[in-house]
Amino acid sequence: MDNQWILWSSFVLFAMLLGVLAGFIPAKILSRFKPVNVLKGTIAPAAMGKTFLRNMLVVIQFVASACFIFIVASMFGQFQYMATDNTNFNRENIYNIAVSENQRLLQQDILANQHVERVGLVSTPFGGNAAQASVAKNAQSESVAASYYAANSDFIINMNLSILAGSNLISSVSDSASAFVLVNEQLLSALGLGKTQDAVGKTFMMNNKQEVTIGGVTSNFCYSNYQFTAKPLIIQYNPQQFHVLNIKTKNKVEEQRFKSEMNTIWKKYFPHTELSFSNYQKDMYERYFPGGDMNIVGTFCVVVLTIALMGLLGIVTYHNEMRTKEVGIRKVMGAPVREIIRQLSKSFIKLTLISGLISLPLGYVICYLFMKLFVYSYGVNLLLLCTLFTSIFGMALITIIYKSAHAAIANPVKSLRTE
Amino acid sequence: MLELKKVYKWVNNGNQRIFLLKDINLTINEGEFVSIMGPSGSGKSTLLNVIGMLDSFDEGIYNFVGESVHQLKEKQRTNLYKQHIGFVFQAYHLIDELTVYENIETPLLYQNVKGSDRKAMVADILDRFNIVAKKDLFPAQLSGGQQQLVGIARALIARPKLLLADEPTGNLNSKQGEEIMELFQQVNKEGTTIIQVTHSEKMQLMATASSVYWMALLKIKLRSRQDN
Ligand SMILES: Nc1ncnc2c1ncn2[C@@H]1O[C@H](COP(=O)(O)OP(=O)(O)OP(=O)(O)O)[C@@H](O)[C@H]1O
Ligand SMILES: [Mg+2]
Repeated sequence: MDNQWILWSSFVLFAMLLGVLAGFIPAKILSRFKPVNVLKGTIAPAAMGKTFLRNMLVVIQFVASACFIFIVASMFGQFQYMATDNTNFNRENIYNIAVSENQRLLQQDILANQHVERVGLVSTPFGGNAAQASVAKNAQSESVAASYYAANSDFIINMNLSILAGSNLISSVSDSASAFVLVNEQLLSALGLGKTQDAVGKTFMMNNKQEVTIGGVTSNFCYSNYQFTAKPLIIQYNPQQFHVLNIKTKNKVEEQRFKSEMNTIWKKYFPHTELSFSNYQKDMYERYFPGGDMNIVGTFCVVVLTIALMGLLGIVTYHNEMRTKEVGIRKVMGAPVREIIRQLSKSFIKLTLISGLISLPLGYVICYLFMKLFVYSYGVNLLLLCTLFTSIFGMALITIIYKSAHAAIANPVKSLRTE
Repeated sequence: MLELKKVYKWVNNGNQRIFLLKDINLTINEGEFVSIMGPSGSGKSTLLNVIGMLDSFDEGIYNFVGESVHQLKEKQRTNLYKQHIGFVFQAYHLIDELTVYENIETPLLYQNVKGSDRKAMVADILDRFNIVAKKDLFPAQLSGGQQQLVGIARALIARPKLLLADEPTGNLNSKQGEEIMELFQQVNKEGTTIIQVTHSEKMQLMATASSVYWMALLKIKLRSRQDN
């Protein structure tokens, strides 16, 4: 969780920096910059310095806004991915019921329900805090920390884990723990047990007292924290530690109705205890989507974004306003409306293209670096980047064309009136 | 050359109609040098803009070199004035970002004059106005009189038949003003019709205009020189 804090505070700092960069600085520079002085000739030759500064500001503004939008979108994308991911372990159509011990009869009754496809058993579902175990290659060697889950074979199937070597846990209804375990590749490398293909049948020491045999190997899927590589993992058939019925339904079911059906079954066995039932997909969404933080940051984003966009709008308006006199003069010289719109937009389109050439790769790098914080990430969504870029570009284009048309249609007499 | 008959212009402000020009009757022949004088707010600038087709009017007839302006569409009107009319402003209205050379060249760009011809025409007028040395400077680097010279050069570059000037010497000191007026007379002698609005009686006399009009209360009337 410490890491999350660093992440958030660096984000907030970054956002503030961009907000200042995108909103306040241009306003400051522009307000310092008095057209009157230029007209009076105190700043001469006027053209070069003035337009260069203006162009720089437009580009900086555009790049900053675009990158800001990119990174916010990437963050939301990553959290959304973590909250709805089904690739590391399956969360779809899974419902959990907490039980105090192995309840075979209850389990069979539930399995008889028309909606239920499979009932797995597990000590605690993935995504939460795993039990800790220490593992060692043999009695003499140094031990390593690992996560421990007690589960049966149906749970492994429910979670849709991929077995790279060996097989799933032995399907069993025995009351005693099995000596065969499922491990992830990380455990193999942590203990130096060699290649995945050769691992099956090898033994190691668990908690300094029990020797277990590897029955199967899974990939290093993420079972808890997306930021770090999964710790060594052991999954063992161990009925003493089963505390959750992990139910997979055949299709999507209506949660409330399913819950009441489960409750009816539950009450047959435990008339005096409340049923503890939960929708795994929803649990995981709440676990991984930082709703509260996102609300704060979201509000913050809106503020910063508004500053940035207003800055952008302001600079465009300023840009055009600076040219109303010129437009008036050109009209009087006989320039047609279309020519004026073209001329006003041309420079801006060029600037946005330059900004695009800077902000797309820069945005990509920033998003890439952000994604680097997560071992398990969705990756940079290039399509999203391009879509966002196009919409920002489109908004800018609409603004400039609207403003240019406005300026071009205006009666030149008005802009040239001397008073 | 041009003729206005019973021209009215107004704006509507709520239910109220505010007149900007009233019953303007004016005939100007080719080669004339016309001065329009009158108190502030009497409608001189408004009239000049109407004559220059920069502004529309609401009632009456306006014929310009044989065309009925009141029947023309905006685009035709633009074509008409860019072929025949040059404008000079009190505030010069040069484009700050362009050099003297580029400023003078601007009207030609909108009349599809070929590059080589443009070059020759600009060089010619720079020479005539004695501002060749200033051609690469920006307006901000010139004095008021020099800026107005550039403004006039720009107005004349496309060889218009009619030159419209709204207080061309209003921002200049009297010596600079006199120089501009001499230039106007010369241009007029070469055949360009000139209509100028002016405040100063003295400038006006200097200009030895062929006819002088007096504007008051949005109306215009001819004033013979002996009236002074
Ligand atoms: N679009 C408009 N709407 C309302 N009133 C207008 C409009 N245009 C001009 N006026 C008014 O019409 C009157 C005449 O204006 P105009 O600029 O023609 O005067 P002028 O004779 O040129 O004055 P000055 O000598 O000060 O330049 C002014 O009172 C002005 O406020
Ligand atoms: Mg006026």
